[in-house]
Amino acid sequence: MKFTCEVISVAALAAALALCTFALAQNTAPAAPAIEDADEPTLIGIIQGDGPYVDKLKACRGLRIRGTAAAVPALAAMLPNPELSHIARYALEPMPCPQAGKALRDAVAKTAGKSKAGIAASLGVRRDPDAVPVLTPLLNDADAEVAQAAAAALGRIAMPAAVNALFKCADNRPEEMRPAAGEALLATAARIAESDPAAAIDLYEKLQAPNGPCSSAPAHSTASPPHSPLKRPSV
Amino acid sequence: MITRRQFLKTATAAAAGVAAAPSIVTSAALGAANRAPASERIVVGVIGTGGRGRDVMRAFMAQPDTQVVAVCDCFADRRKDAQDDVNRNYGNQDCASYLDMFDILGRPDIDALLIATGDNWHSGVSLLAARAGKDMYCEKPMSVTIAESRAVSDTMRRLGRVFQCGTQRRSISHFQFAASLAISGKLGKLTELQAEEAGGLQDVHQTILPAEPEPPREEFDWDRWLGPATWRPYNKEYPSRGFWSGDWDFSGGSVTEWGSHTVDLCQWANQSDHTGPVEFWKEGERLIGRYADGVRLVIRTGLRFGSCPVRYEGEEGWVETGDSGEMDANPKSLLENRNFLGGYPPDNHVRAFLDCVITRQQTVSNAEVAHRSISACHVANICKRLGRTVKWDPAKEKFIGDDEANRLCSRAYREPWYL
Repeated sequence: MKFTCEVISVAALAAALALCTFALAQNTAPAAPAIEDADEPTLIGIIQGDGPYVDKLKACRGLRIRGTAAAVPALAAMLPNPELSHIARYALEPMPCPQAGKALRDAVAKTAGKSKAGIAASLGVRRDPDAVPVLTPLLNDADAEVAQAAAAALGRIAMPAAVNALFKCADNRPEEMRPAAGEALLATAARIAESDPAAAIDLYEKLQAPNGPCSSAPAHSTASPPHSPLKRPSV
Repeated sequence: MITRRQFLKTATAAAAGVAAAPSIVTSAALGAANRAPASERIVVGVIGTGGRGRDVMRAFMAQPDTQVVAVCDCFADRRKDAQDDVNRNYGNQDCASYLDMFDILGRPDIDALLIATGDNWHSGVSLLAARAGKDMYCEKPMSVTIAESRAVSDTMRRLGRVFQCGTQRRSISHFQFAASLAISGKLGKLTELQAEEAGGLQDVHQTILPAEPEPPREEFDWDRWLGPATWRPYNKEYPSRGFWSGDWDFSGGSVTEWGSHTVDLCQWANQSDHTGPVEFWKEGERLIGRYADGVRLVIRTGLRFGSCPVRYEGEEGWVETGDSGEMDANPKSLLENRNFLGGYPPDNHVRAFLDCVITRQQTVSNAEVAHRSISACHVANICKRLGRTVKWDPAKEKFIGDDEANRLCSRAYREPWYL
C-alpha cells in the first residue's frame, strides 16, 4: 500500500510538473509579431487579401515607414475604394518614390467626392509639380470640397502655371472658391518670393487690385482673402 | 479686429412706425462695473470643453472686455457642463451649445476662439478657424506632426490672424526671470538646457482597440472626434486622456505633453525661436539634442520644483525652476532675494492674447515660435521612435539623408480634412 501511495504521489507530482511546464511555456511563448513590423512582401499580401480592415490599416502603417515602389500597385488599387482610400494615402503620401506620385495622380480620374478631395490634398502635401495639370481642372469640379482641396493643393505646389486658373475660379465661383483661391494665390506668392521677387510682387498686386480675391482685406493686415462661411463637410 | 456691433435693439413699436418707446437697456449691455460695454467686447467661442478647455475658458470669462457666447464639443455632457459654466458666470441663459464646430465657425459675431480639443485636432481646427476669419488661442501641443504646425504658422501669417499657443509659462514671472538670466548673459555662454518630460506616462504606442457599439452622434460624435486620424471602429477607451495621450495617432506622449512647455522655454532661453536642434540621439533614457551653436538640449526626467521644470546651464552659472515657483541658481546672487508664486495659471497668457487681438501685434507664443518648439519635440520623438540618431536641417525642415525619418514628418489627413 505504501509503495502504491508513493507511486501515485510521484505520478501526481510528475503530472503537476508537466502541467506547470506547459503553462509556463504558454506564458513565455513569444508574442505574434505586430503586423506593422512585418516585411514588405507580407504587408503587401495583407492589403491585397480579404482580411479585415484593421489588418489592412496596420499593414499601411508599416508601409508608411518602409514601403517601396513594390507596394505601390497594391496601394493604388485601394485608392478608388472610399473605405480604404485614406489608409492607402496614409502609406503613399510620404513615399519618396515617383511611382507613389503617379499612382495618386492616376487615381484622380478614378475617384469622386471625398476620396478625390483627399487625393488632391495628398498631391499638395507632396508638392508634386506633375500634379498641376491634374489638379487644375478640379478647380471647376461640381463638388466644392474637391475644388477647394485642389485649390489648397495648388497653393502648396505653387507653380506659376496654376495662377491664371486660380484667378479664374475665384471670379467664376466667388462664393465657393474666392477664399480658397485667394489663399492658394497668397501661398504661391510667398513661395516664389525668394526665387522670383518680381513675379511675387506682381501677384500680390493683382490679389489686392479692385475686384481681386484679396481686394477687401483690411488695411492693417497682410493681404488676406475675404472669408466666407466654411462649407460644412459631407459626413 | 473688433468690429462695432449694433447691440441695442429698438422696441417692436418702431417697426410699426410709431415713435419708439424708450428701450430698456440692460446694465450688461452698457457695461456694468468691471465689464466693458457689449460693443467693446471681444466675442469668444470655445471648441473643446473638457477639463482643460473649461479651465482656460474661466480665464477668458474673467476678462472684463471678453464675452464667451458659445461652446462646442463632441461629447454632449461636456457641452452641457461648459454651457452651464458660462451661463452661471454671466447670470443668464445666453450661451449657445453646438455639436458641430461649423456652427461656431460660421458665426460672424465671434471674433476669437479658444481651441482645447484633443491634441489630434489642434492644427486642423486652427486652420479652419483661420479660414473662417477668427483669431485663436490654441492649447498645446500645437501639432501631432511637423508638417501640421508648419502649415498652421504659414496660414496664420498669410491670413493675418492672431494666434497664441497655450504655452502659458512664457507669461509667468519665475519662468520669465529664469529665461532673462539666460538671455541677458548672466549665466555666461550657455552650454546645456534641460527640459523635463512628463515622466510616468506609458511608452507611446499605436494601438487598435476591440470594436464596441458606437454611441449616438448626439451623445458623442465619434467620426468628428477622430478628425484627421485614420478611421477605426469605436471603443470607449480611445477618448480617455490616459489612452490617447500615449498613442501616436492622437498625441506625442511624454515628450510633447510637457516638452510643449519645457522645450519651448529652453528654445526661448537659447534665443532659438526661429530654429531648432540639428541633431538628436539617445543616452540611456534621455533624449539629447544639439543646436548649431553647440548648446545641448536634454529632454529628461528628475529635475526639481514640481511639474514642467527647466534648468539652464552656462559657463558662469545655472538656474533651475519649475511650477512650484521655487528657484535655485549658482551663484546664489543671481536670485537677488526674489520670491515667486507657484502655479501655472493661463490668465496672463490669455490677457496677452486678447491685447494682441486688439492691437494686431504678434503674441509671445505665436504660431512660428510654437511651431519651432513643438518641431523640436517631434524631432526628438522621431529619434525615440526609430531608436537611433537623427540629423535635422531646421532651415529646410527636413531630416538629412534619412527617408525613414522624413516619412514621419507628416501624416495624410483623413478626408475631407486637409492642411
